[in-house]
Amino acid sequence: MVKIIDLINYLILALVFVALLSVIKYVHFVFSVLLIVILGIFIFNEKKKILRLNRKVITIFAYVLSIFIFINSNLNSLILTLSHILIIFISVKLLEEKGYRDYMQIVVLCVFLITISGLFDLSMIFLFYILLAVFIINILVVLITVEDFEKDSFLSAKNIKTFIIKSSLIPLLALPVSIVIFVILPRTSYPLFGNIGLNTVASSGFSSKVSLGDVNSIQEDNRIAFRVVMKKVDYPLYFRGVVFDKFEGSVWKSEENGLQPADAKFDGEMIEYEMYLEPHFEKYLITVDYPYTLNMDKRVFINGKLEAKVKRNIDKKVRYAGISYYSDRIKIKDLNLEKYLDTSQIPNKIRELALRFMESSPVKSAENIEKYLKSNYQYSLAGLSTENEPVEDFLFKTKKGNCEYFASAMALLLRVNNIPARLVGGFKGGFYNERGGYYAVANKNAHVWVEAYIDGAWTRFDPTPAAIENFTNSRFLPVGLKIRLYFDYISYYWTKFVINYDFQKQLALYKNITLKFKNLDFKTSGKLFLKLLGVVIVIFFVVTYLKRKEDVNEGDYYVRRFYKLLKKKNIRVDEKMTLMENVDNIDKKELKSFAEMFVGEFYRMKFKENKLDNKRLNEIIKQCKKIN
Amino acid sequence: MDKYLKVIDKIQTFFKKYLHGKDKAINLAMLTFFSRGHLLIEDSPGLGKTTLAIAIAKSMGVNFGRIQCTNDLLPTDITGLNIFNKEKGEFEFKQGPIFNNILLVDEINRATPKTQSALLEAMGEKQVTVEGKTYKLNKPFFVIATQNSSESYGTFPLPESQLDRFVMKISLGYPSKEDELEILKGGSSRGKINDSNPVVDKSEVLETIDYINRNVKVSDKILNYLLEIVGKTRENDMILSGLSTRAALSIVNVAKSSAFFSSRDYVIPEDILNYYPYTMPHRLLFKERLSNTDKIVALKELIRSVKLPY
Repeated sequence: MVKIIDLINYLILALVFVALLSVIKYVHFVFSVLLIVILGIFIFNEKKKILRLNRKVITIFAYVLSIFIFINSNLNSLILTLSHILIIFISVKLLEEKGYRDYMQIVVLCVFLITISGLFDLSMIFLFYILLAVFIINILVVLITVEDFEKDSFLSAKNIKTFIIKSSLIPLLALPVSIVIFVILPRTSYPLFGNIGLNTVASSGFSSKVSLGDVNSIQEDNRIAFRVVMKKVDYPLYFRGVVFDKFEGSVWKSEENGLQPADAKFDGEMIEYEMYLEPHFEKYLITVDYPYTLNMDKRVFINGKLEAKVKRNIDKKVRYAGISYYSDRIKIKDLNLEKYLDTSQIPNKIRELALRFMESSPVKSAENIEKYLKSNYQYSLAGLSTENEPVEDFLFKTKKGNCEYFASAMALLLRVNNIPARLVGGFKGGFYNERGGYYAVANKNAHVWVEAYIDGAWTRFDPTPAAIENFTNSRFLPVGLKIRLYFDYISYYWTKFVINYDFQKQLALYKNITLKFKNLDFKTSGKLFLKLLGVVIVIFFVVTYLKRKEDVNEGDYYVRRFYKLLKKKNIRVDEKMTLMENVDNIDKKELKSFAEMFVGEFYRMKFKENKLDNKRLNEIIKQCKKIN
Repeated sequence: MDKYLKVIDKIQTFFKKYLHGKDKAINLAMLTFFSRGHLLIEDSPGLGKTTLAIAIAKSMGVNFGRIQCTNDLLPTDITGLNIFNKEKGEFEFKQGPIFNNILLVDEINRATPKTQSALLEAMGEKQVTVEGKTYKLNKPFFVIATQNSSESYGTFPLPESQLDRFVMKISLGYPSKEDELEILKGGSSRGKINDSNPVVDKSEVLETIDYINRNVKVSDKILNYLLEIVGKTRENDMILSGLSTRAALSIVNVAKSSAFFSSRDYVIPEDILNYYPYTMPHRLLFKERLSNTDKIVALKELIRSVKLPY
């Protein structure tokens, strides 16, 4: 005869062991050792029942530890983090006193762990583990259910045999069916949710046309335009989008510029990046200035103006990788410079002004203009000129404007001085998310700056006074923004792992996993850990308080409080006994008389008046508390 | 209520005066009496059963009868019978000892089953029928039956179904050394009791019983709690037959008396739980043969598994 509960424990042991075995190659050895030790304790404890851990305490501990591990991990080791967290939870569940639910939870956690092993390594061994687990779980689940139905029941050796054979039939029958389903069911590599919410993101800070004076709400739009996974740099980044070459009085346009690539010489700091671009419904891709190459699953080319373009509008989230060189200028052999010198739409007043900046060399002239604009004009988003000649208005009347005005003015002034000039529309700045290792750039970071062709190189000038917030240091961020950063981190995950699920890339990433885990920075997150602990504890108490208030019957609430009080006073309390019997255990006279009073009052209210007088009961409990 | 509490108080003082070292037994006997039930005492002889019965009778000025059971005792020896009156020339009914208010039935398990059932029938119905004529028994009517431990030779153990008619089954036990010394010093208190005057009268007692029955409140929570316990005894694996409805009813009655004795006019869980070792075990038929203590242990476990009605 075998006790079913023993059988369950051994099967749990086997299942957890299989689960651990499936991931043991990948997880940090500390976790493996931890789980093995706890398995030992578990088997020992189930027999002897020595350890009686407070369920709530260890659960909270597990949660906090998990959050800690989660925060400390980086994106690439997400799966590893998950398996560590699973191991922690399995450990906790093994140590707790177990009911039906807890056994089932262990089973599910083990299944998760084995499933994760399949993500680490797509070899046949995964199939072995999962099949083994399925057989164990089948028997286990039936046994757990039997045990739940009738506690402490037995099973004879003969019955065990027939039982195992019969319950093994279930997965055996299910297996062929699932194989058929596996073949039939389609597997998608296309984002399932790509087209949802198309209308809600239709506006973006980026467009292929700059219309001066248009009401521009975009400058205050906090929504994320794109995220760039790259190293952190300590200078403001320029993200290139469209190049505007034609000015038509109040509108800048980008004229088509053939297919031939730029004859450019890249130098400066090389930046490798991976871009997650939100849909902006234009054909342009955003690149880190200046783009050298781009790699995308669609046809993409970088034209002579260093614009990256695709055939169709970007109407869903896209991902691409690229290499850029960061610099202030880029040498390009540009033969066709006439259109950058077109002054036909420039009003006379501006021409007159422009001549004041003439210097000995084009560089000096340009710097002169930039300095003049920066120091004499105000950055503003309101009260912008909407006249027919917005640039003239900006320069002579309103004297304030957004980046579009500053850049337009400078470009025109340069052109009058016979320096080829164009506008570049894109983004500037963005805040670096340390955890995700990426720059999040919002629509409000949309920016326009000037490029002047000087000494055979397109040189960047940014005449706009530094008004664009530049969140590169998260230490000075307000709390609200920090929280938003966290949320952004989550939505970034969503984008990266769900919408643009790239299997090959992931496989490559997993290879680095163990290495990356070692780079964990425990020191800096110590504080965060403490804070987190505090928050979790507060939440725990609030939740338990609310729960108690909510669904516990009023009488139980007072009885529980009363017993708690007695326990605090070192009085042995058996909650299965009646109140009076427990009160009889009290030695101290004063306390006893108060306790008797409480019980008397409580009983009278409960069984005679049928209504508890909260005020009175609270008062008595309060008085009881005062007694030593 | 105070008026009736005084009745209880007077009787209790009376007992304290004449009976030593039997507080618990007296209390249980009183509870049984005031909940209109009957008491079964299982004990060795010579421990004061008769004294207890006489004391109860004397204290409230009611009459007292006694039957010593033997195996040749006939039903008519208990109920009474029609005897021919020569002078009047007709049969007249001669009342048996059952027509007393308080009846001590000694060694009830020595009587034959026929006699036993006649007695128990009368206890249940509170009336007897002799030769087609029905005679009402006196009020109050209280039977204290005693039986020797069932191992004794030449006995007819009462079946569980009959035992159900007793509200409580108790055992007096030996008095403590101090109490026993007191008894030896003072000699038997029987004489003193016989000489004493009643402290309350019969009508007061009857009114008190009636008052308890009518005015002590039993909330639904308590009743549900009791029903849950009763239900558990019926489902339990160890128990062949659980508590009957009559059992539940008499437990409620005892609880009411208990509440009243504690000057309450409402029943609390303790009123039920303090007395379950006396009110429940003898009514339960266990599958295995268990001693009384084992039965109580099993019952305790069963009761603990029911959530208290807070």
